[in-house]
Amino acid sequence: MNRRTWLQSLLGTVLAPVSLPTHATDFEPVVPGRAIELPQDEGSHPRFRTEWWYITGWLERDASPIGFQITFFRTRPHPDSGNPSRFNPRDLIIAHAAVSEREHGRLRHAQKVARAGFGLAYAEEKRMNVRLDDWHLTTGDSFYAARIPGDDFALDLRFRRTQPPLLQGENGYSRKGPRPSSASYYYSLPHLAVAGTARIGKQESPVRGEAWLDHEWSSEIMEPEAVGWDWIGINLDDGAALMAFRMRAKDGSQHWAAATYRTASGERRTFGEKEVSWTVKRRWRSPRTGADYPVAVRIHMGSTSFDVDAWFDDQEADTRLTTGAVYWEGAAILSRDGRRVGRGYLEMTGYVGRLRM
Amino acid sequence: MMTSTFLALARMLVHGSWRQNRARLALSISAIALGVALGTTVHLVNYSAVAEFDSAVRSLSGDAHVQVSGPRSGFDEALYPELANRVEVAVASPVLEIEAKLAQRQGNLKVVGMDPFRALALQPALLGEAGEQLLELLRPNTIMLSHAAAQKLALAKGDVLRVQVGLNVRALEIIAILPAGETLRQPLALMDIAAAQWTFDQLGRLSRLDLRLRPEAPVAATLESIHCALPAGLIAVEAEQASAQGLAMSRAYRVNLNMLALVSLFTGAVLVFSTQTLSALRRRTHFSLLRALGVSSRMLVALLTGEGILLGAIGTSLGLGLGIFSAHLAIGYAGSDLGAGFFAGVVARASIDPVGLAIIACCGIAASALGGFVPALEAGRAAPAAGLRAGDEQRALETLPSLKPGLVLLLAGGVLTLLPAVDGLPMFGYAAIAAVLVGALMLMPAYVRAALAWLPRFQFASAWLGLQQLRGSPGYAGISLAAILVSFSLVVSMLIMIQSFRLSLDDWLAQVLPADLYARAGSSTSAWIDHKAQAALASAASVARVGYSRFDKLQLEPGRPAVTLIARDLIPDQPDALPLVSPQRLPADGATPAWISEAMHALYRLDVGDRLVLPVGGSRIEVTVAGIWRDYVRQGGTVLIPRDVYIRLTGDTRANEAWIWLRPGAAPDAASNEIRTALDVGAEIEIRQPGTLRELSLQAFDRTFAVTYALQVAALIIGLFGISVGTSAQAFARRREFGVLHHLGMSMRELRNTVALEGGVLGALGAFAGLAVGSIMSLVLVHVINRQSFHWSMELHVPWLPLTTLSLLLVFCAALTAALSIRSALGDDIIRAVKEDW
Repeated sequence: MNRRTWLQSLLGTVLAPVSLPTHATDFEPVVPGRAIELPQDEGSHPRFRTEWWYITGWLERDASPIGFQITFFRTRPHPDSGNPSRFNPRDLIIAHAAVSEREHGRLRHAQKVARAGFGLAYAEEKRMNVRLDDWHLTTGDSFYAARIPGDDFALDLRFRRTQPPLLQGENGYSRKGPRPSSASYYYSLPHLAVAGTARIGKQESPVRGEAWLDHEWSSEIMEPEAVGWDWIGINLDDGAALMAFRMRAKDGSQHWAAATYRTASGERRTFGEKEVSWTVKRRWRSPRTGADYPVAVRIHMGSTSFDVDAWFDDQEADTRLTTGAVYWEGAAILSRDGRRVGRGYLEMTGYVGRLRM
Repeated sequence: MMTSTFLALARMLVHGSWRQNRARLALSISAIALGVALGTTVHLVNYSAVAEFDSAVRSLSGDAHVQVSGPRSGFDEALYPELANRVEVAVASPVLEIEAKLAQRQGNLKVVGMDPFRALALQPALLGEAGEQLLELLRPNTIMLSHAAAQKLALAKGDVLRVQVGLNVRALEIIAILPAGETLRQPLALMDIAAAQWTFDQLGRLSRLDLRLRPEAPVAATLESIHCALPAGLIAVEAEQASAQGLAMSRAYRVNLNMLALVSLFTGAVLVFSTQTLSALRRRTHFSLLRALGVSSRMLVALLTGEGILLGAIGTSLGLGLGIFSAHLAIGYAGSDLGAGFFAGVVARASIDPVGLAIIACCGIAASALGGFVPALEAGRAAPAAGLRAGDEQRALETLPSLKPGLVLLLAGGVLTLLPAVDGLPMFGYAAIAAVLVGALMLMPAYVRAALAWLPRFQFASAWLGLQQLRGSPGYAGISLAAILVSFSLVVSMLIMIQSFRLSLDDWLAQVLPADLYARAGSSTSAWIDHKAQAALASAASVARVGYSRFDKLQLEPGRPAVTLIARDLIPDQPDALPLVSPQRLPADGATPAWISEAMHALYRLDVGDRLVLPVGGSRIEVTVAGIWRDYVRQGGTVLIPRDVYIRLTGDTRANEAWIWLRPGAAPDAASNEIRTALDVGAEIEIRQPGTLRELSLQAFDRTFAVTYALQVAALIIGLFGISVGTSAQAFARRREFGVLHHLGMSMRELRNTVALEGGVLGALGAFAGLAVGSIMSLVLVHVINRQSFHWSMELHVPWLPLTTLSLLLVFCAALTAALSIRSALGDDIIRAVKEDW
C-alpha cells in the first residue's frame, strides 16, 4: 500500500464516515431547524465528525482557461480519547487540490494530510481559516484567500463574494437519504469573483475568474445503501446558481436526490427527491480503473432540464492502486436547449467500489 | 613452438610433482583456505552488522536529510513546530523512541512513537499493508509490531503486549503485524506518537526529529543554521552521519576484529609461503635438470609462480565458501556482534560484500603466488650442475639472512607503540605488532641455529641423529617454524590480553559494587523507580540507607558517541566507591564536582581540575572535574554528577537504580522479599546481590570474547599444519638418508623416534619463540591497542596454566605429526629410496 493509497482511503473515510461504528453520543447529530449563522458558521464545527470547505471554479488566463478545485477536510477519526498529549489526533486535516487543463487532457492533483495541532495544521472555529503546513484557506477583511503551493502546480487566489450565501436543503439542513439523521449542514457561496496567480508546471500567469464554495459539516452523511454520489455546482452566465446531487444505490439507481436553483435576482427554489432525476447521455470508461463515468448527463428538475457535459473526459483523480475512493471531479459546462448557459464543476464518486471499502 | 614446450614442461613439472605428493597439495590448499575462510568470516560478520545497523537507522528515517537528536531522556516537543515552520524544511517528522521494558518476560523492545502522516511522507513503505490499519493506530493503547518482533515475542495480531512503565504494567493491543519486507527488518514496535507519549509517561517529550529539506535549500548551510538554533544538548546531523554516529561506538571493536581476521589471513599466508618454499626446495633436482635441458630461469619462475597462483585460487575459492558458510552460522548463533552486545536489538542477516571479499581473495592468491615466486627466483639462480647433486637443498638455505633487518623491525615496533591513535583507531599499534611479528620471523633461522648450538649432545644414537639433523639444516627448521611462531604468538598475546582484562574487570566489579543490594527497574528507558517507590523503599525495616542513580545519555559533540550521564547520590563515608585512577580533588570554590571516566579524559582531553559544560535538562551547567575513574561498561565516556544537582536542574526525581545498604544482621534474601512487598511489585524490579551482578558481568565478558577463542583454535590448527608440512617435507627429502640408516640397522621405530624428537624440539623452539613474541604483542595489545581503542586501562595478568598447557600440547603435537609424517614419506618403499640418487 503506497502513500497515495492510504491517503485515498483516508479521503474515503472522510466522505463516508458511517462505515465506522460510532455511538450517537460521540458526535453531534445534524437536525433540522438549526439556523446557519454566517460568518461564524464559516469556521470549523469540531463536534461534528466531518467537515469540508470545497472551492471549484474556472479561471481565465492569456492561454486557454483552466478549471481548479481546492478542498480542505476536517475529520475526527475517533471519539476523543482524552489523551492529554498535544499530539492527540482529535482531528485530521486533509487537503486535496487539482487543476484541469484541456490541452493536458487529465488532472494535475496534489494531496496532503496531517493531524491538527502545533499550529501546523488546524481548522479554526468561528472563522474560515484552515491550514495544513503551507496550504492555507483563510478569511481576510473582504475576501477569502487560498494558497496551494504544490509541486506540479501552485495556486494563489483571492475570492470576493458577489452574492449572498445560498443555503441548501431546508435552510441549510441538507438530507442525504430517507433517514432524517443522514444529513448535513450545507451552504454555498456561488459566483465568487477570483483573482490571483496560477502556476502550472513552471508557467506562472495571472488569472481571473469565477468560483463556487461549498461548506458542509455532518456526522453521518452516507447511508449504508448508498455507494456514492454525483454532484454539480454551476455558476450560470446570467448570475443564477444551480446545485444538484443524487446519491446512488449499488445497482446504479437513484437512492436520493435534491437540487437548488437561485436566480440572479435571488429567487430560490429547492427540488426534492421526487422532482430530480438524472439521465445518462454518454459514458466514458477510465483506462486506468475501468470505471464508467457518466460524463454527459441530463438533469430533470421539475418541468425544466439541463445538460451537463464534462469539459473533457479524463478528469478522474489518478489513483491506480486505490482500495477505496477513486473519483471523477472536473470542470463541466451547463447547457439548456443546446445553448451554453453556465460553467461549473461535476463530481462523481463511488464508481470504483463503494467509498471507503 | 616455445609455447608448446612450455606447456609440456609445465605438465611434466606440475602434474608429476602433484601426483607424487597429494598430501602436500592438500595441505597447501587447506592452509590458504583456512586463512581465507577466517578472514572472510570475520569480515562478513562485521559487514553484516554494520549494514544491518545502517538499514535499521535508515528504514525509520527514510529519505530524511537531517536528524535532530538530544539526550536519551528526550527534549521538549516545542522544537517540533519551530523546525517544521522553517522555510527550508519540507517535512518534519517527530519521533519518540522508547526502549520499553517488557512486562512479565525478559528483555526490552524498541517502541517507535511517530506521527504516521509525517513519517510516511519520509518513508512511504513504513507500514506496508498495515497502512489499512492506519486509523486504528490513532487510537490510544494500540501498537503495531514488526514481523521480527512478532516472531521473537511469539505474538500475533489481536494479542496484548504488556510493557512496564515506571514500576507499572500497561497493556497495548497489537492491531497489526508489519509485513516482513525490506524496510523494517528489526524487532520493533510502532505506535502513534500521542499514544506513545501518554502510555510511557513522556508527555511533551520527543527523542528525535527527522527533517527533509526543500530541494532548493542547501543542506550544509541549513544544517549549520539549524544546529546553531538548537537548545542545549541537542545536535543536528546529516542523516547519513546519524548511523555513523551510532556505529562510532562499536567502531574500535569492529576494527579490532578485522585486524584479527587480517592476522589469521597472514598466518595462512605464512603457512602457504613455507609450504611452497619447502616444496620448491624439495624439487630442486627437477628444476636443475630442467635448467640443464635449456629451460630459462625466467620460465621456471613463471611456472612456479603460476603453480602458486593456481593453488592459491583453489584454496581461496574453498576458503571463501567456507567463510561465507561459517559467517552465516556465526551470525545465526551469536548475532552480528558475536555476542558483544553492541548491536542489541538489531537482527542480523548475513550480507555479502563483493569488494571486501575480492580484496580477501586477492590477498589469499597473492600470498600463494609469492610463496611460489620467491623460491623459484632462488632456484633459477642456482647453478644447474650443483642442484643435480644430493643434499643441495640445504646449500640453498645456507646463506643465512643477516640479522639486521629483523632487529631493525623489532626496534621499529617498539617505536611505533609510542605513537598516538589515528582517528580514534590504534593504527600504529597494529603496525607495531606487524613489525614485531615480521621481525621475529626474519630472525627465526638465526634463533634456531643459536638455540640448537646451546642444546646438550645426547648419548642415544637416535636423539643425537635428530639433533644433528636440525643443527645441520637451520634454514629448513626456520621455515617450518614460521607458521607456528605466527599462530602461537597470536594465541599467547590474546590469552594474556583476555586474562588481564578479565581479572581487571573482576577487581573493578568488586570496587564498584559496595552496597548490599542493588535494585533496578530495568535497563530500558520505560522503567524507573518513582518517588512513591523510593519512599516505600526507605521505610522498609531491613534497609539502613538507600542511594539512587539516574542515567541519561548526552550528545556533547556531533559525530561522537553519546556520553552517559550518571546522577548519583554520593556516599559521604565512602568516597572511594568510584574506581579512581587519578587523585581526587574536590573543587574548593564550591563548584559542582564531576567525576569523568577514562574515555572522557581521552576523548575530550579533560583532566582533574578542568571545567566542563554539560547540557542537562535543556540548560547548561558548568562542572569541575574532581577525579577520573575507570569505567569498563561505557566506551563513549561517562560523567558522574551529584544527584541533588541533577534534580535541581531537571526536577526529575525518578531513579533507574538503587543501592541499598542493609541494617546489621539483615539477610539479603529476606530483605529482597521485604522490599518487593514494600514496593508492591513482582518481577517489575530486579533486586540483586553484588555477587550475582559480578557473575553476570563476567558471563557477559566471556560471551564477548567467545569469538576470539574460536579464532585462537583456528590459528593453532594452522600452526600445527605448518609443523606437519615442515617435517613431512623434511622426511620426504631425507628418504635416501633414512633408507641408508635402515640398512645400517636402525629399526623403523628408532627412525620414527629420531624424527619425533626432531619434531618435538622444533615444537619446543616454536613454543618458546611464540611465548616470547606473544608476550611482547600482548603488551602492545593491553597498553597500546586496547587503550587507544576503548580508552580504558587494565593491569597485566599472565594466565600461566593455560600457557604452559598449550606449550606442552604444542610440543607433543609437533612430535606426533613428525612421527606420522615419516611413515607417509617412506611408505613401504624404503629400498627404492636408497637408489634414488640419480
